[in-house]
Amino acid sequence: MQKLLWVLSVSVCSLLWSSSAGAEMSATAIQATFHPYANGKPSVEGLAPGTRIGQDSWQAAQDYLPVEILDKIKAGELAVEVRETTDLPVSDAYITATQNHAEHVQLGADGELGGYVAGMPFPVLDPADEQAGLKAAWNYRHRDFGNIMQVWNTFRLIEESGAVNREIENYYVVAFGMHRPPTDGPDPNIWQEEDLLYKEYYHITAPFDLKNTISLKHRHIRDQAKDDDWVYSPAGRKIRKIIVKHEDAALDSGMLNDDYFGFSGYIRSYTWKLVGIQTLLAPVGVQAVKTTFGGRGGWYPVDPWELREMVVLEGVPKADDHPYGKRVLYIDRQMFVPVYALMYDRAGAHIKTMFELYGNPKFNPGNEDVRVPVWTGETMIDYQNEFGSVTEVTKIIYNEPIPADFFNLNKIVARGR
Amino acid sequence: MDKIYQKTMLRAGPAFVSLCLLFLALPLSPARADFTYGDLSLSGNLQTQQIFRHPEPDKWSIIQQRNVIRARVEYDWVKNGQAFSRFSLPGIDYAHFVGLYRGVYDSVYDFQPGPRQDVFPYRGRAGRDGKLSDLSHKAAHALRFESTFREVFTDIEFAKIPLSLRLGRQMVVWGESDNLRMLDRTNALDTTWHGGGVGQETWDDLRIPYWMIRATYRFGRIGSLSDVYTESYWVPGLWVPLKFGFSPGRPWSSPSANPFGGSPTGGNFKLLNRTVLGRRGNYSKSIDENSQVGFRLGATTPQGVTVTLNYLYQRTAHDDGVNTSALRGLNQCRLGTAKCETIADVARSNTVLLGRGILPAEAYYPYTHAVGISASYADDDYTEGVWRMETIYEFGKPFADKRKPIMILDEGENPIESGFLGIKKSDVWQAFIGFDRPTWIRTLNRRSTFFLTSQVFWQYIPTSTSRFQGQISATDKVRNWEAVGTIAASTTYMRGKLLPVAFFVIDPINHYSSQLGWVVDYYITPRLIVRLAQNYFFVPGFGGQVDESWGLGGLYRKRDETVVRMTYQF
Repeated sequence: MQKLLWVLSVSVCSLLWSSSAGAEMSATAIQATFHPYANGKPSVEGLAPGTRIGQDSWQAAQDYLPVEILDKIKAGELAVEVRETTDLPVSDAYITATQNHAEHVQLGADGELGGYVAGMPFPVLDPADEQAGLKAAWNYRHRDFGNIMQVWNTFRLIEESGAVNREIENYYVVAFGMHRPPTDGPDPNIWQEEDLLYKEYYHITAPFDLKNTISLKHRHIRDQAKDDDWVYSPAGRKIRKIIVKHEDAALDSGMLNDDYFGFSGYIRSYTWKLVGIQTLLAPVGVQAVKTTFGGRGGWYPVDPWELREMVVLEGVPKADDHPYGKRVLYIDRQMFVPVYALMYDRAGAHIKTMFELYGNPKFNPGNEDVRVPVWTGETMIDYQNEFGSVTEVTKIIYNEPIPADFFNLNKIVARGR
Repeated sequence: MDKIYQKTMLRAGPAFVSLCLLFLALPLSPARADFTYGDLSLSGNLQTQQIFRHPEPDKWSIIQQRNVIRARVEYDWVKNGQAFSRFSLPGIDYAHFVGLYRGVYDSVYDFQPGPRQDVFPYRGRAGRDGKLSDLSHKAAHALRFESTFREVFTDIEFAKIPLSLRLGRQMVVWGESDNLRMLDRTNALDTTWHGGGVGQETWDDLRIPYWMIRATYRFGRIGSLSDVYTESYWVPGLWVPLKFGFSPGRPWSSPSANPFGGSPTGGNFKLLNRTVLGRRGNYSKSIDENSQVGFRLGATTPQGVTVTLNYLYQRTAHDDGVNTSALRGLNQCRLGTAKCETIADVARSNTVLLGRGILPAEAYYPYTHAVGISASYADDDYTEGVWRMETIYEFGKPFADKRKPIMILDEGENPIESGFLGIKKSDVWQAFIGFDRPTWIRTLNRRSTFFLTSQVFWQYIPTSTSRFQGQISATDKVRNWEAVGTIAASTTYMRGKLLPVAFFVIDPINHYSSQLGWVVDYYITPRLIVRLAQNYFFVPGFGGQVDESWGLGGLYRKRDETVVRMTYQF
């Protein structure tokens, strides 16, 4: 009976999703997008909370995992436990902004957004819409990530044996400054004049040979505009403008420069296709500050997984020389963040799996009241080269004000040491 | 392999082995890479470096066995206006302390390996200088240790004004070029660390930190310009010039024998006015006589060009590759004055000085005004690279003037030229253009790009240089134009474990005098790194003497070397 109720709920939601683009965004549609579990959490026979999915007990999860991940479970690379789905709504301000402004958003002939103010640009996606994929990509670009995120974390390159090739501790800050939902405090749209969507600051704090290397990125609001990137090297004692190739991998890691958070490149560089909406198991709602990694190589997130509504979005790089033939993002529908991504080479073989981990704020001291996806880590597993690139979060703070000039070049010049 | 090498390696062995055992004894786990206790962090490294010189393929000798410890302390002593989490410090938002210690033990001064060192101008056996074992025990021991706090400073950020200060012993590095001394000239170089060409040592270890005050004021956006700021520094007196050492005491520094030996009073000749070459000129190290200042204004244009305008007023350190003279010849009496009526009288007064063990010259580091511009621009669309440029115009740099010879008397009491010359000043213009590009060379690396960086540098003296005498040798010309080109490539392999770099430097004006080098760093663990590197200095197709001041194949011929280094970082 429960299963029947759940199927009915999903059907209703799917109907809502099938509404043609451009129709008025009803409160019901908005509610379904951001509170998909309001009428009940997913329940599948054989996947009750506490069920172990492993090498000898994968059958129940057969229809609820991408085959590429299921194959790894069958091979014994990881085993997970099922947990009850966690309701992780984004902020009320974001939801309200979506409700107020989404109906005015449209795609221009150049693929850029028009009429966008704040919130989710296209909360209703119709798989029959040719532009549904592109709209989903824009939804991801303007997901609710909070205004400012400060993360202290450790990035490791790990061989299959568990041996660590390189280990880099760093402090990362991303601050958004345009299209922010209104708040009671000062106007958060601090970079309106500069046409900058966000600024990223990355500061290596260890090891000694890289200590105080700082990089800075400015991402423009227009997708057609290229990022501005700088790096301060303590060896050279200079801040230097650089060109970052998105298909390049820093430190020969498994992470391309457009892999971060699932996808961090230019929307225009891919052809997007909305594959559909599925209910899948995913490592979401980590009940800790940081994800626990285990399995083969220590690469996999082994905290309990839960059934989630997922938007499946396929991106095919337009550049002939991109190492990927396609990238498939499995985006948590409620938070609209990719929770895993599968990368394929140009021959169509699956070569990498990336997990983006988000936690339950109630279990993240200091962030209990945060209503944005609380990041707890990421891992990129490169099967071709048999190693993992794992980021373990030590501490994370959301929306704590930092000076607007924190990201300025001259501040870094003054701070460089 | 050379027997001398075998013997010296046996004697060097214990020091090297001891350090290796220390490395192996240290925990090699990939756990936390530094020590952090709240706002205090301690990090650093232990390093052992061996340099082998091989002027011929079958002639190898060890010239350096260096053991280094670096320790870095950082402490946020003011946060949100609170000092040490206790005391309110009005007006100050943040303050951060940095201390960097470097301790060095050069064991070659204990086991003193041979053979005789080749010195410029490398005329076979006639060009050989002494060996390390020629140093007295006292002289060798004076050189074997270094213990210094290289940098000790605090950064202060003010609360209500967009001003940052850096107070203390520090380096200031301006400009856009790499390893070229134009706007990057605030801190002179210490080539006693490891001189020779470019690229072998990070200049972080070569620059001499000074006690100074640096201030940065941020204006933010002004009109269409963004990130507008000014930066200025003041070195209040404690400035020193280029430091160098001679063979055989510093086999990795200046490739020349000590020119000051053979004083009739014993030891080395002294210079006039208590000046010391490489230490100080005729001034006291006081605020009013030895201050250096610099000022720059920076901004980013709407087109994305990052620009700085610079002004520096400081003493010439003689470390920028310009063929200036650090020695100024001074006659001891003026021709035409009482008791100085003839050239012979002038020569006699200088000869008397020589008899007292003093040369008729002083170490000379005059002030110059310099203005410069630097700029960089990232071209994503066409060249997909970053263009850099830098130019500097210096007023009144000192050149040795052949028309002002300092005369002495020969054994027959005839006036002859001593070799020392007076000074004539001239302006110098220097500039460079550079281009950096991450480039795919997939046949060599399928997964990561090569970072290619290239620079073309030139200098021009806008006056006739026929009367100027170069410093490398008596035949050294000072040309109106000089030029150098550099190119380097680096990439990453093995998931970040293998980092190779190769570079090439060429001087097309001086017989294409060149340096070819490569460095490979291999991370055994995230903490333990082994480095293998080589440098080759050559002048293609020309076996004669090449007078060049860059430290390439002309000046550093016969100094091909291999470096083996192991580093443990914490």
